[in-house]
Amino acid sequence: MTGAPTPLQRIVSRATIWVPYLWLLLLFLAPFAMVAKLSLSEPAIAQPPYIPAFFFSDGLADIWAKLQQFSFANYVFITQDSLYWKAYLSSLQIAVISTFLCLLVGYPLAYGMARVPRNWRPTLLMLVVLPFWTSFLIRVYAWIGILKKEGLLNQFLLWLGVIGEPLTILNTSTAVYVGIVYSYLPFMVLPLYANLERQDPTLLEAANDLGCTRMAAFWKITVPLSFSGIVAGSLLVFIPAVGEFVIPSLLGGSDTLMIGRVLFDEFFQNRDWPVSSAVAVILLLILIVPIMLFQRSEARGREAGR
Amino acid sequence: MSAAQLPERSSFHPWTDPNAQPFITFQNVTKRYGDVVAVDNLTLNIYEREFFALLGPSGCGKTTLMRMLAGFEELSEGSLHLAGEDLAGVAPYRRPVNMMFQSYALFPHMNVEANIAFGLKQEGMAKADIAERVGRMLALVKMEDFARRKPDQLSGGQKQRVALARSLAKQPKVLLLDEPLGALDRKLREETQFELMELQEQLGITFLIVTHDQEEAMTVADRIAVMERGKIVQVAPPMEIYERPTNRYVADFLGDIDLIETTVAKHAKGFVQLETAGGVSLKVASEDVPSVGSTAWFAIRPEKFAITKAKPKSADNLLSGEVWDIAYMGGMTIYKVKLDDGDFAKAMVMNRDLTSGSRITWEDRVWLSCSRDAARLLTS
Repeated sequence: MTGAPTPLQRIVSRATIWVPYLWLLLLFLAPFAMVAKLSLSEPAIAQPPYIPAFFFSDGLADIWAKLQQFSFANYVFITQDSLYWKAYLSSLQIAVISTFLCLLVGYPLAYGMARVPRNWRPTLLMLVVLPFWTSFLIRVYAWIGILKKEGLLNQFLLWLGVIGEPLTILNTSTAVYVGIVYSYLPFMVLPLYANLERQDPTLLEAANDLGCTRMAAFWKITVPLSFSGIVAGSLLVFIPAVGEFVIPSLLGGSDTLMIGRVLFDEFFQNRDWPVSSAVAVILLLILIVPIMLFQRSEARGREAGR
Repeated sequence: MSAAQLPERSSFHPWTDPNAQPFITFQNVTKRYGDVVAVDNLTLNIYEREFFALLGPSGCGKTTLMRMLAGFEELSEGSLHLAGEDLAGVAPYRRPVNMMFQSYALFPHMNVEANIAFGLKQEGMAKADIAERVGRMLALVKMEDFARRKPDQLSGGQKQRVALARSLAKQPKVLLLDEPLGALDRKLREETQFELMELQEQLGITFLIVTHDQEEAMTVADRIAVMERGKIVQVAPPMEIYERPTNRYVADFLGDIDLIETTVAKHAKGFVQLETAGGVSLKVASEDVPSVGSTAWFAIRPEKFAITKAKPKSADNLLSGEVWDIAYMGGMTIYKVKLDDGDFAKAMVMNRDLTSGSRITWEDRVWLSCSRDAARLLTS
C-alpha cells in the first residue's frame, strides 16, 4: 500500500461497496414495492385488472394524503377466508417435513462424499450438481412418468412381486414430498458437504482417544460442528419449498393445498391481482423470519470458521 | 502418587537392569502402507515412568510407531504389549493411553472446561468428581482463569496447555506427545520443556514424545531412539547418544559434528591410529578395532576442538588450517576452518571474557587440537 488513496480510488472503492445494494434495490426492493402497492389497490374488470391506490409519480405530498385512506381490504379478506390460512399452514407443514426428509437423505450423502478419498470428491460433487443441467420442469415431468399408475415405479414393484396391484402415488401429497425432496436435495447436500469436508479429522481421533466410540464421536463432534451447515441447508430447502408451485401442481392432487398454487389460481384464474399480491406479501413476511435466522447463522459461521 | 515415593532421577535407569520388566514392548513390528514400509521389523522396550523420545526426520516412521500405540494404526506384523497386555485388536477408546495431538485437536465447539472434561464424561464419572478433576488439571497447567474460553479465543501456548490438561485428565498409563511444542516460539518452547519434565516426574506417568527437534529430545528425555527409514539406529540416554553415537547418521542428526574421513593406519594399546588423505596422523581411543587399511571416520564435536594461533606443544591430534568463516553467537563463537588438505572443520569456543570473541579473525592461520579421548571412531 502506498500512502493514502487518491480521490478517484476512494470513489471507485465506494462504488464497489454500493454495487450489491444497487442490485438489491433494482431486483428485490423495487419489485417488492410494486407488489406491495398492488396489494393495496382494488380489483376491477380492466386492463390491467385493478384500480391503483396511488401512483409512484404522484409525488410525496400526495402519497401521504393517500396513505391515510389506504384500504387493507385485501388483507382483511385473506384473514376471513379459511382457504388462505389453511394453505399457508399446509405449505409450512409440507416444507418442514420435506426439509426434514432432505436432511435425512442429504446428511449421509454429504458425509459420505466428505469421507471418500480426495480424488473422488470432484466427481461426486459433479453428480450432485448434474441434474441442474436439465430444466427443472422437465425433471418434475419425468417424475410423473415414474410415479403414475402404469409408471416405472409401479411396474418395478409389480415385477418384484412386492405389490399385487399398482399404487396410487401420483396426485397425492406423497408425490409432492418425493418431488420436493428430489428437487431440493442438492441445496441440502452442498452446504453440508462444504462444512463436513472442512472438519479436521484429527478431532475424531482425539474423541476416539478420549474414550468415544466412532458412533459417539459422530454425535458429539461431527454433528454439533456441522450445525451451521445443517441450518444453511435446511433454510435453502425450506424457503423455496414453502412457496413451491410447480411441484404441487404437477405431482400433487386436489387435496394438496399449497400457497404457491393458491397464489397462481388467484392471479391467473380469478384475475384478482390485488388479493394475490396481498397473499405474496404475507408469504414474504412469513419467510423473513427464517431468512434472518439464516443470515445470522451465516455470520456466526463466518466468525467461527476463521 | 507423590514424588517422594519415586526413586531419584539420577538413579533411574531401568534399561540397564536385566531384571526390569519393560512397560511397553514393540516386538518385531512392521507397518506397511501398500509398498511403502513405514516401520521395518522394529523391536523396542520402554520402561514405566520413562520419558522416552522418538527422534528422526519426517517420514522416518516415528509418528506411525506412536499412532500404533494409540490404536490409530494396525500393525502389519509383530506384536505390541502395554503393561503385559497384548494390544492387538484393542480399540483406541479402550486403551489406557492418551495422546496430545500436534494440532492440539481441541474441540472448537466446547470451552476449555468441557474439552478437559470430555474424556471423563465418556468414562461415566460422577459430575462432582469431574468438576474436581477438571479444576485440578486447570491448576496443573495454570489455566484456571481461562476455563470458560473457547479454543479460538486462546493463544498457541494456551491451547497447548489445554491439550496437555485434556490428555492427562483421564490419568492414562502412557501419555503420547506428538510434536507437542512444534507450534510454539522458542522461548515458550524451552519453558514448556522444563514444565513437561517436572510434570512427568510429578505424575509418574510414562511419556512418549515424538519430535524432529534434537534439542527438545535431549532436554526432556531419559532415553532417545534415533530413527531412520522405519528402523531404530540407536537407543540411549541423551548424553550417550551425543557423545557415543554409533554411526555417522546419529552423530550428524544430533548436534554439530566434524567428520574426517581417514584410513586405519595401526592399532596401539588403547587407541587406534588413523591417517587422513592429507597424511595427517590422528589418534582416537576406541573399543572397536577396525582392520588396518579400512576406511573410518574421525568424529569430533566442534566444542571439543581447541583452536589456537600458536602451535600447541603437545597434543594427540593436531590439524592446521586457515579461518574461513566466523559465526559469532554471543555466548560462543564457531570458527569454520579450511584445513590444509582442503576439508573443512568447525571449532566452537566459549567466549569466557570480553575479548575472547575477537582474538582470532578471518584468514588467521590456526591450529585445531584435541585429545584422543575427545574424538570418536566411526566405521559406518
